[in-house]
Amino acid sequence: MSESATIAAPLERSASGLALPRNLSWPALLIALALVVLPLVAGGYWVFTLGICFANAIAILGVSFLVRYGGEVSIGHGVFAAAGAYVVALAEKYLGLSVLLSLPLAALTGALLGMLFAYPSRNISGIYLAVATMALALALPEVLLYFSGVTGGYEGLYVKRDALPGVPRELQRYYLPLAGLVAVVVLLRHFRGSRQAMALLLIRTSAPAAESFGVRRSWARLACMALSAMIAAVGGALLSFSSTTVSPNSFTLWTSIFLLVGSVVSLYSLSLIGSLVGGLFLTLVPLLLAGAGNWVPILYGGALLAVVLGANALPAAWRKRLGGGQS
Amino acid sequence: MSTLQLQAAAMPLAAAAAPGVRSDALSVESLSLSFGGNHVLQDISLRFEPGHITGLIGPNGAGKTSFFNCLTGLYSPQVGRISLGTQRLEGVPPTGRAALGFSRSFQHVALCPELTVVENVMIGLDRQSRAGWLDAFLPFASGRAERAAHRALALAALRRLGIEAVAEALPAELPPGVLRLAEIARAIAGKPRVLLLDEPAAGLNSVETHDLSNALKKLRASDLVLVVVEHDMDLIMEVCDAIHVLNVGRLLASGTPEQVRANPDVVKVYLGDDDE
Amino acid sequence: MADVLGLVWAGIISGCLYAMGAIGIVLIYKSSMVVNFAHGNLAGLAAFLVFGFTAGTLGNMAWGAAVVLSLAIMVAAMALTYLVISPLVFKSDLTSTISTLGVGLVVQGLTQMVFGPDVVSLDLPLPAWRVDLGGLRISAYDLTVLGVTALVIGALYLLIERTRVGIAFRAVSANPFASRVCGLSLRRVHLFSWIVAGVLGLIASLLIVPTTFLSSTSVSSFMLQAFAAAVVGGFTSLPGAVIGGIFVGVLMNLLSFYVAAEFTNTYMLAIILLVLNLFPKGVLAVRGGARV
Repeated sequence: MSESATIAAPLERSASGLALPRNLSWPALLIALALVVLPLVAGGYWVFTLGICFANAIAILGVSFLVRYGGEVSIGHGVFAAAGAYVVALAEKYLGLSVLLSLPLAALTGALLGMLFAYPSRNISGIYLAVATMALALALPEVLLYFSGVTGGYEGLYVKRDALPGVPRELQRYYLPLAGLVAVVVLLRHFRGSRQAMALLLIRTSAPAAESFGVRRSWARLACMALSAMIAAVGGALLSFSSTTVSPNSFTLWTSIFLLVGSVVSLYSLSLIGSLVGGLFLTLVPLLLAGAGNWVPILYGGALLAVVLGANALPAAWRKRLGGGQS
Repeated sequence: MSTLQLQAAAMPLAAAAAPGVRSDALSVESLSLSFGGNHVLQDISLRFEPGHITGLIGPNGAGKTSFFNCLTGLYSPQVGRISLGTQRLEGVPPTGRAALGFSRSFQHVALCPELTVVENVMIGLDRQSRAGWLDAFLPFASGRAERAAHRALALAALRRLGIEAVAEALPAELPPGVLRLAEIARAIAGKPRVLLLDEPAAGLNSVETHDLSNALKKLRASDLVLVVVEHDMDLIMEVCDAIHVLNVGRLLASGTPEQVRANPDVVKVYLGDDDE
Repeated sequence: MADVLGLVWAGIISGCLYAMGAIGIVLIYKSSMVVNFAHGNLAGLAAFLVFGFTAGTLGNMAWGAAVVLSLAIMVAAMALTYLVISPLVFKSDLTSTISTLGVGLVVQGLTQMVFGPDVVSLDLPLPAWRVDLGGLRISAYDLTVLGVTALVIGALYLLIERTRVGIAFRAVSANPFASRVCGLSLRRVHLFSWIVAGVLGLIASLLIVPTTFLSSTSVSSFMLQAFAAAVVGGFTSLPGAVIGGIFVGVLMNLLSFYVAAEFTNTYMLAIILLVLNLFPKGVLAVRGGARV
């Protein structure tokens, strides 16, 4: 195992200066263990809320992945999350599959959709790409409503099937998303040491340099989009499982924007703690403000501004991660 | 005398290649490149031999960088042939040339700031990798073995350039001289057949240039074509076996360092220019 | 045949409004390199303000007074928005663009808080006058839109070509660094373009409201069309924004009628992807250096 200790030079290194053992840092390991034990002490409300939070955290990881490895910002990732969610719901409705079996299907669908969007947008970047993702997010409800015979229209679909027979429902809806989150974080950690990750990071710095070593821009864009869409789809799939419903209302342009907000609040982190921060922010704020609903967008917007302006005042090492190296 | 004849007369015979080792020369015939009405390069013919370090010099605007970009595939010349041995290179894009064994460094250091030095060098081995997407995410034995092997090769390249000690550092922590050597390590990690160095001494002080010069001399290999574009005359004269001089898009002179230094045309072109 | 003509005419009219929205977006982008994603929300707020001042929620003024007051508030809002994000404008284009999303969220929330989520209708004080011209139905509304658009474009042209601040704007759009070296105040030019964009947004949203209901989200869809128009014309070209707007307006009308009406935004997505693939920088893009 010693080789992975030296090879896995994490992106976090420049900020924390710590050498990270295995595939999770010590604080993350402790928090993961705490979360595993939590349902024994916390009430049902928290168990339910955290389940959704974990799923949101995964979707946020999808957005952050695109920023860190692709240098692009997306306000359309709600579409990929929706894809994952609807695959789970439809698989249950038409094939009788539980989420355990439909999860890989959801991930695959996400990856395919990501590539499908990436291909016509492979030469578009920066703000033009952001506008294209906005159009993608706004187009989704139209498509969902047009095919309402299948997708259940405005009312949407239910996801009620048990994944783990014998285990109480609420606990399933907690542990499955938690397992998913930990799995995604660990897989991404391992990915960081791969040649593909290094190629993606280099091509962000200098496309001519990467190309002279055989790394193509179109490959990089397709790979980034497919992977980030796949992660978001997994998040969406687990979201539909833990919240038991799926409808076009859950995946509007605002959903995509909120995912970006969560990603920014987490400082585009790919770690367990960072994604949890983003997910908590995204999940708790509407719940805490359930009475004064109009404050939600104000708080999100305010938080986004606060984080972005605040990070702007931080030293260069952090700011480089925010600005993504290239504009 | 034509430039090719000059070349043939001047250069010592290339060491006979060991059987089985490819040692193809990189040759350029009648190459012309123009943008709009601007003739950047005109009728250039020359040959880069393996086992030698060949320098390409000329005043600013002579077309050196454009010529380089033609060699690497960034530009497509309107007229002329570029061949590696018998392999024609017209229409082959930079990624394709990488597959054929081309490798280059850049004028502005193009290392990824988020990767450590050894990781940056490992990218030089990317095209030889067989690890797929599953290996990227899951710790399978073959993937891990390849990562370890590539890491060893990268460290070897760094050792060859004398900078193994900084393998785990980030580029932001290192001086430009070391970064330049790291970039060259990346370029040689994959055992290329053609190594093109674009102004490797740019931005280096005299101590760092000296280190660079020693490193370059150690890179000579019978199966490697090494071309250096440079402004630094001392470096060129010390390191190169053969030099080609470009001026306003044409080949002005070719030969050994002594011949080029003595060539009156070359002297005239450089008169009044400060050597960097 | 008369149908096509009517569709095209209606498309031109709505295209003028998209054009105005697009000009606002392009103005801001050209000078400060920021894509103002809050444009739709701010313009919507402006329309709501006019509604509020005339319909009793905030007051019971005459229409003209309401517009002037809303205009003043819009100018203040745009200036405030710019000042809030200005530390980022000089640092990173992407981060400042993301921050406009934050502003948009805040404005959306404010609009909903003050005016509620309900849909309201806002009527313009226009005569209900209509004329039939060779199979084409032209209303007072159509002429108003055309007239206002022409006025706005003319005024903008004079502003940019003839006034000092307009020349400064052109300089900053072409080369911000050199402009600063020459002593131009970048901040002043940015404020100018943001404020003018806000005024244009107010005008555009007031004019589009009669064709649809006003709700806290209706202006966003309109804004996507304005964004598409800006993209088609090339984000850096003001005349391109006008052409893009009319192109988008006409195309959308034709597609809605001949293909299917439920896919407005999907058409937008297709148009954006198609145009950007064929013309990577838009149809009429101005070649300029990229500020990193």
